[in-house]
Amino acid sequence: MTELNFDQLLSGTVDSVLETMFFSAAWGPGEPETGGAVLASRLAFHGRPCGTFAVCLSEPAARLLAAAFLGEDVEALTDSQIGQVVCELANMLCGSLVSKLESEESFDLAPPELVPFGSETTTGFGAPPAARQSFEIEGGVLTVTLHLEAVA
Amino acid sequence: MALNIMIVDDSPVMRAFIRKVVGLTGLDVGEYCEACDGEDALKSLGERWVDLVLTDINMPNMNGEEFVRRMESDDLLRSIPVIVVSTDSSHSRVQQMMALGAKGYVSKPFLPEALRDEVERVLGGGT
Repeated sequence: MTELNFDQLLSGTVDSVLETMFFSAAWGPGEPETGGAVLASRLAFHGRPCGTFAVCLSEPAARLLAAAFLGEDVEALTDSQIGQVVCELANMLCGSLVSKLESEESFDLAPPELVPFGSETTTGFGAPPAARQSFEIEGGVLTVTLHLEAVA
Repeated sequence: MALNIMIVDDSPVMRAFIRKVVGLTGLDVGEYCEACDGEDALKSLGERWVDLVLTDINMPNMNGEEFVRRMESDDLLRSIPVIVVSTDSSHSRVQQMMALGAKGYVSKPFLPEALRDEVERVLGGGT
């Protein structure tokens, strides 16, 4: 794989997915959520490369994204729908990013799962993330984390 | 003529999103039929006819790859056009799914226009 600017790829992917699928936008860099009502989702991807991808965002931000995604009123959404949309956000960001990392090779995405806040970046790889960025969005901050498994 | 469309995806919110987007495209849709994986979709296709299938790839029980393969091996079902809607936009995956029998491919994220254009291309503009 050629030398890649992960941060640039990550921010481009976030912009594209938010604008296209959520009719929303990243307003600029933000400070990661530190607690409170926060939702996090993580999934693993397998191929070349392998790794994990995680998203974390405040519940109000997740609720607004879910409303935009589904075209529903914010008040009408269930917690289950909001959680599913957060998982789908992780899925789309991950798939879109990994496609950019390796456009020739196919890959497999594991089903995304909601995980407790703080554990979304725990991978067991024992290495710092390849990229981690936070973006201010409507209702809060979206943090995305990419871990790549070291190639033996 | 109104199209009956099947949406195959394990995520209920993604199925709802695709339904919403198809609605935005202005396509004349009769009925939507939904399935949570390939197995569920094949079962439904044994009970009702649809004009178009939109399917994800990564799904439990029976993924999109096997689902398209099974449709293609069925004398009746192979006449139903399948468009893959997936986050995997890698060249090899697109080629693989088209080789298996899919007639179109839309990569997520996508604009409503992209889905409409692909549907119209696959159906030969006769919508």
